[in-house]
Amino acid sequence: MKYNLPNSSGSSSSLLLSMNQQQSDKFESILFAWKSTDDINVLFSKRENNLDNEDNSFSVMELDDVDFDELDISLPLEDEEKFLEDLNLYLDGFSNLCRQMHSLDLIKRTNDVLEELLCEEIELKIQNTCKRTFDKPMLRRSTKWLYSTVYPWLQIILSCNSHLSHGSVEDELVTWSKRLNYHFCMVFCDSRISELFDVIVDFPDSKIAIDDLIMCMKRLDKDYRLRLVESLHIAFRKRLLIPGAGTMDIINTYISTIKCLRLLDPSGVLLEKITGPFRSYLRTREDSARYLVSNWMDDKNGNNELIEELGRTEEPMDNQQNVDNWLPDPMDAGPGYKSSMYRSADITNLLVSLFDSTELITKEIQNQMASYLLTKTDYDTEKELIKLELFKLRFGEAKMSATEVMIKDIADSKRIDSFIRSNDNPVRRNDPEEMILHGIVISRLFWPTLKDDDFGVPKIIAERKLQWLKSLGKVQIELELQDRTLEFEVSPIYATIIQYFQQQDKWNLNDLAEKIKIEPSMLKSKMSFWSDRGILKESSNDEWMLLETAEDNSNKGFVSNEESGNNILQSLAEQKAEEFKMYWVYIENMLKNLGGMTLEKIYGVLCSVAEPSSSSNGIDNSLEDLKMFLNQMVEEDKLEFQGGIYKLK
Amino acid sequence: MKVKVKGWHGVAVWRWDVPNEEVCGICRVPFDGCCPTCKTPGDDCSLIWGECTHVFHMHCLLRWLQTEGSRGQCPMDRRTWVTAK
Repeated sequence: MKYNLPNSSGSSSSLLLSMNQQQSDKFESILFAWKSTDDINVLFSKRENNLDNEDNSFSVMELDDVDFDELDISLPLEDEEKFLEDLNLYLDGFSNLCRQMHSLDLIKRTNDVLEELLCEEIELKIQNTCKRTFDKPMLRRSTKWLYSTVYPWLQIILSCNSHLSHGSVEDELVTWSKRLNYHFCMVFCDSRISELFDVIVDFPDSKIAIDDLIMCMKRLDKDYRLRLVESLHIAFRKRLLIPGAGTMDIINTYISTIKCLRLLDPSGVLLEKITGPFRSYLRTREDSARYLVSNWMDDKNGNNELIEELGRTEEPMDNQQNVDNWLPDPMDAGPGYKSSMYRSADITNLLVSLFDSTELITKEIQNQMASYLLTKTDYDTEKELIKLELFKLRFGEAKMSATEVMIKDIADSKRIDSFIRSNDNPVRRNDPEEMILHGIVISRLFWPTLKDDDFGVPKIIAERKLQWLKSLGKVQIELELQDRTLEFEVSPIYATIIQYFQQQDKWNLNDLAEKIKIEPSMLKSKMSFWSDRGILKESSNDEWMLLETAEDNSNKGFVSNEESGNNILQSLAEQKAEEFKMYWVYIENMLKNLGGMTLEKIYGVLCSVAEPSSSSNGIDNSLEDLKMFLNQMVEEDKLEFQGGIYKLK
Repeated sequence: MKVKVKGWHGVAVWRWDVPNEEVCGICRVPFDGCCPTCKTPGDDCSLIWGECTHVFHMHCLLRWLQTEGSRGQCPMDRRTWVTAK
């Protein structure tokens, strides 16, 4: 950013050159509205009319800007000669004007106006060009504009003062440029800070904008860091941390924020300050752990950043090694600032630290791993093994041991399965009916609690002592209908239903439910799986019939994804309720012996009675959960709730 | 309509065939889990049945028998430990 003093003779052509370089930039072309030389003439005449008006600097300014910008747009090359002539003419006229103003001592008097005007012009320029453009180096471009347009113009004005020597003009110009540059930085910074949220959302496409901001912030005082934090807080609160925003979006923005701020401020102080609201908000979202883990588990999405980040375990920085370029924490770091965590800004760590304990995460990993593994039909666990190794690095081997056992179970099942099929198997029978059966045998204590909806599976199931979880797994079936043959891979329950329709074409919902031994309401929801696929149809209320020939009602767009909510795991609430059932005996006796008790008292007694290790997580069930359970008991007419006291009925 | 089952991938849970006992008398971990020194249950950490009908994790019992205080007795009923066939 060196300022070259253009000497009067060569100035116009060198300016022209620099303008031509910018010609490719579309940006500049939409800057000002004047497009034709006529406009300039109008302005030019305006200038002459206002010759002795103090305000004339306005029109001159405009004229000058139009001059450069307009010329570089509309100039056909063959007109270059003429253009140069014109330009020189304009410049001469302008110098003349300035000289006259100098002699009238008007320039000095209008200094304030001049400065104000230039500042305004800068603001306008930034407003018009830089706003919402994050993918181009706007800072460089705008400074180029400063040096190619504003300063030459200023120079013309200053150099017309016959009292000043050449050197002092230069000094004057430097003073001006310092002031204007600072103002420029300020305005630019303000503008960027106000749109930083959008910059973050666009990251990494907006990396250039961040670089610009870094450069600007370096020139400005620390005050701007505070302003940045405040403005971002407001933006987050208003636009992101609201119930309408999806958890995944919030997590993604959180990640971008970390990346952006890591660039902006390597010391991590800003990061710590800004991510505060994020962290407390994400904590209130129940599903954040689930989304986080499911993102880790998801392989389909090719360039999954989170997985990459998961694999990156940075070595903790060696203090000895960095002793030479050690920097103290910035001034605005609070006393509780944990430098190391934010300094390294390991995204995975920052994400995991959202949760009170890694327990929550590891449990979630286990759950999701379980559902991945159980729906597999090919026993292929390679991908899961890779994931497991990554998780182990993160959370330690001990925490992941259950997951390891899960994967091993699948591998063992594979071995058993192939042994059953092999010729070495002494009890092998060449019964094709048996050959279709594959099994996964799991170690129950190491898996999350699995949901087992019991229902009557039609024959073909045989028994170390095995207990089949009938609702899990996959069945490949082929349906032969009159006009079509379809193949499906479905959960056993769906296969069971369709199997019954083989015996008779029509079933009453309740009859069928009785046959399969499940609740009619549940059956109904399962039936919709087949009706979505155009195989079954509800002819009248609760009467279902098989569609031997396809019915052409092309609402196939609705085909719900297989097994809506593939929730093979027991929901959290169910698990909790079950845990409390264990305590019900205690509670009942307690209330029998001691009479009515308050919620807190019951909780206190339970805490002292219950062994911490009696169930998987002991009685870390909170007061809230207990309250919910007791209220449920009240609803079931087992308890009475009066004046804050629970009593037995 | 004909339904043809082409393949069935079932899921089953295994359990040691131990009557009414749930946890190993030595380490107090369920039999279907593994002893404190093991990581994987099942074949890698099998059980051992004594003639006195008591059952333990094999690793737990062997470690017990190695200690001097055990005098080769079953930790539950102090009879000499004889592994059931």
